[in-house]
Amino acid sequence: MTRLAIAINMHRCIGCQTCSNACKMENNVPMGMLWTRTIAENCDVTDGAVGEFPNLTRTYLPMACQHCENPACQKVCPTGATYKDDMGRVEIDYDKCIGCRMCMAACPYNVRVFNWNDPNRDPDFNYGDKDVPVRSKGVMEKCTLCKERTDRGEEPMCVVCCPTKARIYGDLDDPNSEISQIKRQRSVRILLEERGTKPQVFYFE
Amino acid sequence: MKNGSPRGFTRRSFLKGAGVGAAALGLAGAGTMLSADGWLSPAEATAEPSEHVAYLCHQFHCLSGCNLKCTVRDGRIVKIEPNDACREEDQRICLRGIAEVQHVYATDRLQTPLKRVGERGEGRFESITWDEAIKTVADNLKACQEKYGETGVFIRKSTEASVANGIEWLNMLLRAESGGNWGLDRGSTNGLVPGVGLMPHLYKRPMTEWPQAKTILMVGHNLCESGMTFSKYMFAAQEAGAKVIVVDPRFSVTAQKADQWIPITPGTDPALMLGVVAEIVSNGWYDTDFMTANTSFPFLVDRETGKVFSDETAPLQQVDKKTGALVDVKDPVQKKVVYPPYVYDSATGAKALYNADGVSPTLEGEWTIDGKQVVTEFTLLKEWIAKEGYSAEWAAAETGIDADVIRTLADEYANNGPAYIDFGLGGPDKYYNADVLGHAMGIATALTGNYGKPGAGLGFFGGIEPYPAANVVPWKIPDEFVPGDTGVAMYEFPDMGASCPVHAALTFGDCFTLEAANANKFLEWVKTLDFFAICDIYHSSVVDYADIVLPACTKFECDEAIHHLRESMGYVSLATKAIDPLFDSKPDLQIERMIAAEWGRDIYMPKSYSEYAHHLLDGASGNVEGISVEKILANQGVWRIGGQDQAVPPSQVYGTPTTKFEVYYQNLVDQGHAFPVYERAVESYPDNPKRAQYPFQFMQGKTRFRIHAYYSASNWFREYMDPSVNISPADAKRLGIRTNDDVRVYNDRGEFVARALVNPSIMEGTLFMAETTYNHYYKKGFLQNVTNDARNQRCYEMKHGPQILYNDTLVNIEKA
Repeated sequence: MTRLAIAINMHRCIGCQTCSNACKMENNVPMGMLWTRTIAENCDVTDGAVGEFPNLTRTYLPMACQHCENPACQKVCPTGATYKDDMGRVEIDYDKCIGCRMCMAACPYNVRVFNWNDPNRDPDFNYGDKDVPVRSKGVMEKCTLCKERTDRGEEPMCVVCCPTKARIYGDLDDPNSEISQIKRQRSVRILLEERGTKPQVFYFE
Repeated sequence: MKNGSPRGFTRRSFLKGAGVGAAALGLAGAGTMLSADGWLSPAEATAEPSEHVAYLCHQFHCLSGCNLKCTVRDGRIVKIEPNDACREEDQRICLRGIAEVQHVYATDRLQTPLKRVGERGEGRFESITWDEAIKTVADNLKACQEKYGETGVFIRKSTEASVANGIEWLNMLLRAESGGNWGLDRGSTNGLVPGVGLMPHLYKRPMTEWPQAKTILMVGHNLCESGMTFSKYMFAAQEAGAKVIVVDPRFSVTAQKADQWIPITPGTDPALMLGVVAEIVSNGWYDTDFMTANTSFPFLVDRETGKVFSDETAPLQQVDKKTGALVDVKDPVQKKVVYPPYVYDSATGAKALYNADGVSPTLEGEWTIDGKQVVTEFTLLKEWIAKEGYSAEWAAAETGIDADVIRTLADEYANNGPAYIDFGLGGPDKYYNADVLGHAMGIATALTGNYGKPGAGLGFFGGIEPYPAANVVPWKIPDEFVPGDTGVAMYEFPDMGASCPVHAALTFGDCFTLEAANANKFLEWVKTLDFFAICDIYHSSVVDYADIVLPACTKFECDEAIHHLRESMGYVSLATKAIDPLFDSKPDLQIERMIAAEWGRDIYMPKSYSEYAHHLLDGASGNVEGISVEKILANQGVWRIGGQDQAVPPSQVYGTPTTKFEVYYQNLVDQGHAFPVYERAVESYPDNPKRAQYPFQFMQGKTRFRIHAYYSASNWFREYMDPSVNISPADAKRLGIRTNDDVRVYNDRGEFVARALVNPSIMEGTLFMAETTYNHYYKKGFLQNVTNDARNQRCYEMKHGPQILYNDTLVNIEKA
């Protein structure tokens, strides 16, 4: 079996939004939508902080589909459009998506984005990987773990472009992979673990 | 939802994050009526998409010089990623490279040559042909030359990224004034040049040695935002056990990532470093062996004159590397001959030349020699510290930092093993007292020996490495063509009245609002020019003031297959064309050729980027032996310069006349600054009466979303950032300001209106704003309207002259 995933080194994440923009470019993500975004946790402004000056903390949290082993989104999808593929990725069959947005409500991570209107692209042409399907109005989308790239044996674009090498991509089912070793050896943070969704994406310091 | 999810993380926090996005999107939404929709010519009707790949070296004003790979589909840029022909270590990119996918096509692109039809500043233009534009530029510049001489014309390529591509032809070919001292990023450097030699911010050892340090003290340097692609070395150092300490008034990204953040009252960094120096000295934490062998601390000074006691019978000489002859050594600032200093030789009990064979200099003491009362520089330093009263406690009162924190900082820096001081080129550099900071950092370094060896150093780190220059064949133009130099700095023009040498200007990019403060005053001066033309890619802040506007294309566009050849970060990089020039824009080489042709001087320039590349590479040798245009193209446009893999040997040879680390600046004796004497910021000092009206310290700094003003037009970035002022929660509450409110920021120089961000990262009494954004994105004015254009007269005695005091600025803020 294969369970592709990304591990994110929280200390190395500088909140620079390179992953978000790399993903947007690669996957032809329209304006107003992002498949991955980096938030400063519990802050309501960009690069805000928690606490009172000078006793402050700030935690950047890059957020995208967690590629759960037990995806809440898949369970509620009435058409089977959302599915778990044989590489361990959570994917969407855009042709089957009826735009009911049940998955959006079910996802505890709020990482699905919906084409409420015809996609508005700036620049107004399809950019990114030529193999990435174009999504239309009424269709849900989210991080595919760069399906088209990873199918070709390449790394996801966010991993390639991360300036601090905070992202480690690999197969959790391969015990010798770097990502498996990190998961075994490091103190690991799983988002909303109590929800039982079993995210494959995880965070470490 | 279940409470108590791990580490306070709830679904709400995602939603909150999403909410921020939505708020920002509202703003972007307002901008979409300006989107590039319909700007592009229809795609060519091809059945199958055709793709090709181009390579280029991206921006250099962020100091990253990323080598990029650009995929073009059906004539449009669709993907930008790191060039994978570079070593993995050198494969760099950040969001700014990626966002070019949109930014190249942004609405602010200048499309055709323009002629002003309204008043200067009004922004009313009509489009004209290139022929008319070039002729108008040439006619006006020639008229100015006739009336005022060649230096009546000002030509400069600005810090605005991208236009320049690194070469400036026209200021040479037209012998134009190019504005002398730059006034940027050399504040601390001014105070270090006499200590270690020219360009002291460029440390001579690579950042890859950071993991060998035990302590890294970052003074006002937000590496994790201004030098993103180099912050990996900071993390590697931390992972290897180094303690990173960040001094910054603001909880910057780098402060967040540091092992220790020391918040400091803005503009008081020199006091902190003087406190550190005082603690190192008073606790005996200095390295006497290093000081004796490698610094000027044992040099003798004449008490009466304050001058270094030297053998004035024969100037100091050294072997000229080119000719092999002995030549007089000149000091790096004033270019005067230097006489060899004396030390007190403990072996003979008499004076001896500092470089005499077998000399054994004494570090401390006072003697009467040749009828003069002489004392070592180290003894003087101790006296000076006592006289000025410098200590951790003194520094604490000035900086707002606990004395114990300062003492511990000095202890860790001096005693825990190899250490760096890494200073930013923004922040503390942009205050009146920046040279004092540079000098004080130098003395801390000279006391501890943290220089010239792996894991230790002093300088600006994050993009400027000691890369070897490639042995290419330089393009030469006849010696008669050199830029004019009236000795005046651009930032001085508005203060000169009728004596200003410049009467017409041609700038490539926005010099006038990026390289000067107090924009209202500066732009009033621009309005008085006989003629002003700008060549730019985007509608930058100063474009509305130009008589003629020439549209340049981006680095991605070219009218020939080969684009610019340059060296960057250890590579020779040959760019190839991604797309044709958009609209009616042209590459700057062609624009410069067209203008030079009006003087018949285009014959001295390459006809094409191809000719230029062939000239430099055909016949290249040494560390780029074997390179050729064909071979570099076959290697995805990059060629790593040889000789970079050997470890840099430790060195204690300094770029000073004596080749020692010099700590005592005798040319500043008359100004009382032979040692760094603390002085406060000139405007933002604590008890300035102006604070009654303008109680806020206004600071600007780098953001990941800009290179200076470049990327103002990026609609991808406008989803994250618009002109906004960060204010502390306490001040905001007192003034009734909430996030997203429009606020007016003002002082007696001017005003602007921007959006408020209430941010706990900000110290009370201060405001922070990201540098900078084109003026038409503000509701009113722009940031540069309030910045301080005062000059420190002392700096005229220094290598880089007075610096622009962007952060030494007081303002008030209110709800707009």
